[in-house]
Amino acid sequence: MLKTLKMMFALRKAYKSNSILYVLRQLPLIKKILPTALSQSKVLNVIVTIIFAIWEIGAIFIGKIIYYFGAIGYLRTLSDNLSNEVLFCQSLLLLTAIGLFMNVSFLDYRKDKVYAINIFKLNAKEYTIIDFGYSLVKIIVGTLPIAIFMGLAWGLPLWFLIAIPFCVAFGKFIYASYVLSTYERTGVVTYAGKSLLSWFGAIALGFAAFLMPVFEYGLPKEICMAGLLLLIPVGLICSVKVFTYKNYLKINKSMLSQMDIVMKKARKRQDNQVADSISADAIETSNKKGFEFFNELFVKRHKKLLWKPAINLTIVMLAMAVIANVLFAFLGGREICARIIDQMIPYFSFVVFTLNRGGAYTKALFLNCDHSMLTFSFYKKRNNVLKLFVIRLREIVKVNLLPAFAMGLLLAFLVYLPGDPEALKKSLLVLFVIMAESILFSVHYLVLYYLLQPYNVNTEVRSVPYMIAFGASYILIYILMFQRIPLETFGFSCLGFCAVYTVIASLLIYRFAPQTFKLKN
Amino acid sequence: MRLVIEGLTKNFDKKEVLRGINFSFEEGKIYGLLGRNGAGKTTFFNCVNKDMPVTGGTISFEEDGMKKELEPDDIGYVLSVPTVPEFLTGREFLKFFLEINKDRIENLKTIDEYFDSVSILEEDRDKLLKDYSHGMKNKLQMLVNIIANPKLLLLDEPLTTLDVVVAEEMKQILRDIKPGRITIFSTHIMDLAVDLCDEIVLLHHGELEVVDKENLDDKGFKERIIAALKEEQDA
Ligand SMILES: Nc1ncnc2c1ncn2[C@@H]1O[C@H](COP(=O)(O)OP(=O)(O)O)[C@@H](O)[C@H]1O
Ligand SMILES: [Mg+2]
Repeated sequence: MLKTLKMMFALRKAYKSNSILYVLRQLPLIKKILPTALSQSKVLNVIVTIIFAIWEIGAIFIGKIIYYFGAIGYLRTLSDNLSNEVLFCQSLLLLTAIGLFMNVSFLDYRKDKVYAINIFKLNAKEYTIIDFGYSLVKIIVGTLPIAIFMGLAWGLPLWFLIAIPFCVAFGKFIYASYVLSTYERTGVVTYAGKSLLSWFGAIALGFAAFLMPVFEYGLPKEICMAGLLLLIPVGLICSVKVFTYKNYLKINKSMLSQMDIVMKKARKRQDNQVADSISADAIETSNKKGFEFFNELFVKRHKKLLWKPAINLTIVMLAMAVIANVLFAFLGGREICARIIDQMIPYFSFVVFTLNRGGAYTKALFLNCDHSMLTFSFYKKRNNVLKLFVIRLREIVKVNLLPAFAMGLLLAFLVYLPGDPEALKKSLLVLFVIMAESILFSVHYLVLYYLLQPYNVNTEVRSVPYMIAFGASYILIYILMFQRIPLETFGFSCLGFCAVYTVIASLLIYRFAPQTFKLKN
Repeated sequence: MRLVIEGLTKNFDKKEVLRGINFSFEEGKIYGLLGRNGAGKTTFFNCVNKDMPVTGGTISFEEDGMKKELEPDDIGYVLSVPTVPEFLTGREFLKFFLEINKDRIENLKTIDEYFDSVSILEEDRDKLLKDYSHGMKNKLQMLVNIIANPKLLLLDEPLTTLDVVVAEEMKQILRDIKPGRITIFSTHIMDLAVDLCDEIVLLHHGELEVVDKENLDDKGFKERIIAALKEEQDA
């Protein structure tokens, strides 16, 4: 037991220190201070351990603070009439329900786990349970103080607040036992938060949590509390399955083969998801020539990674538009809803940014394509780099435009609810702005990829300049959100900026590609 | 044409891997760059190929007494780990490569003829490269670099992963194409170097040193090399 626990921490640390070291090495100051043999130095080991500890402990609390003060705190602002207690209990119930199937770190695929079980041959059952238990302990430790702090201020009874973290933690056993029993039946390992259905569920529940306070509708406090408390006994019953299940080794092996060739390639390609994303069927071909041919095959053989999520997202958005349509046919409150959505449009910049597939796209470009192609000299020539950049730009914009269009439609529809000409104009503008934003972010992702070469085959962290550039983009969007720029101006400036940005970026790429677009050692 | 290296140094942090290499490689010859694991062979190639910045020194071509920078087109570099775009089939990769480079390739052949030349079997030509074996990837990579017909061909431990038959084929190909270019070939396997190369260069202590092949019978020659390489361990 203790040995496994120790091993788990050692592996987690080893796994993360790679990333920590990678970042530290890029900071000029630290590089100077530290002695040569970076990885062997004692000082460095201490620093890395401290950062790791801060990381592990910080992650426990930061997530919960955002969850309680950010999410529930935001829902509070939506309603004027609901009491604190009702709002707290109801939001907590709905959000916890989402977490029950979206966020369960049981048998989720993580490299340190794979190493532990498949390479270090640790006991699969013990390791899986300890790893799961650790995630539950983190939930309890992180939730307890924050729930108590916020709950007391909002007038909830202390005994209930103390029970909350246990409800949340025990509730996770339900999904865990579900994973085990579906595996027994079908031989397929399901991962929390991956299926389209679970996304639908999460979005529906999220909408409920959002719309109920908007319409001043509150569930009785007692029912919500009972619902949460019920998770403890149900979770306990389900935990029997988790503790008595025998085939953990087999299920871990299945995860491995599901993830395919992972271990064979782990040495070279740390990112298994991307490596495995190449579709096995070579039936798809292309009639194009040169770089167009090359690009088309890349896109076709990475459909799973590039287009599938985009299409899923589109389906979700369109379905939500239909649901909202039906709902509002029966419910009142069109004006309120339109007003709220209208006010929230700037916030959707973040959503568009987050949903952008640019990150996945550029990562796949690097790991499955450029990482090897950049060793060929013709590929590094300026004009070839530029040619391919332009093609890829078109492609990345296309992939992202589809879900952006669907999301724009959804929002446009919500804004159009009142149905007058003014609303129509506004809704068309919303559609336009969302699409313009999507194009801008796509361009941004690809340009940063070409100029900053963020990826590295050895760790998952990106280069520091890239992270800084990205952080800066986030801050910029954040600032822009509060400027309340008229939508027209905003949309057209987005497109205008896109055009200028693309031209400047193309020039920069042509000029600097030999220095920036290459493998970094 | 000569490849002239002057005062090439390369440090990683404070570790000196290359310490002032001065050397001139001549056209039409195959050089065997012999060094132990970790001697800096790959680092040397990476510097020549501009994949990493050098700490000091210059690398240039000299033609008719005129110095000239190395352009990407001049260099073909076959890495020791195979690097091919795994999402393409062998045929697609070759097609792509030929289309992009068709203006530079002399006496263009058909794709199948190229495959034949390195004996990649018909049944493998339409497989995705991710399903190729290490050796097959390596062959394809060499093929592509040979077709590009670069002035300078760098091969980092290329034949070590190939089976005997293929290794012999590749050796023959390298001998066939050596006129008109500089071929540098790194290996830690001495017999290979002795067998294939016109000149043997030792990389140790971060410096290059020519081993005179002429005056020694094979056995004495090998002993001399081993002696030289052993020193490094003691140093
Ligand atoms: N990117 C790098 N960072 C730090 N040290 C490196 C790096 N690449 C190589 N080295 C070091 O340089 C030395 C030479 O490595 P390498 O050129 O790969 O040797 P060889 O190819 O001859 O086996 C080794 O000691 C290695 O640890
Ligand atoms: Mg090497």
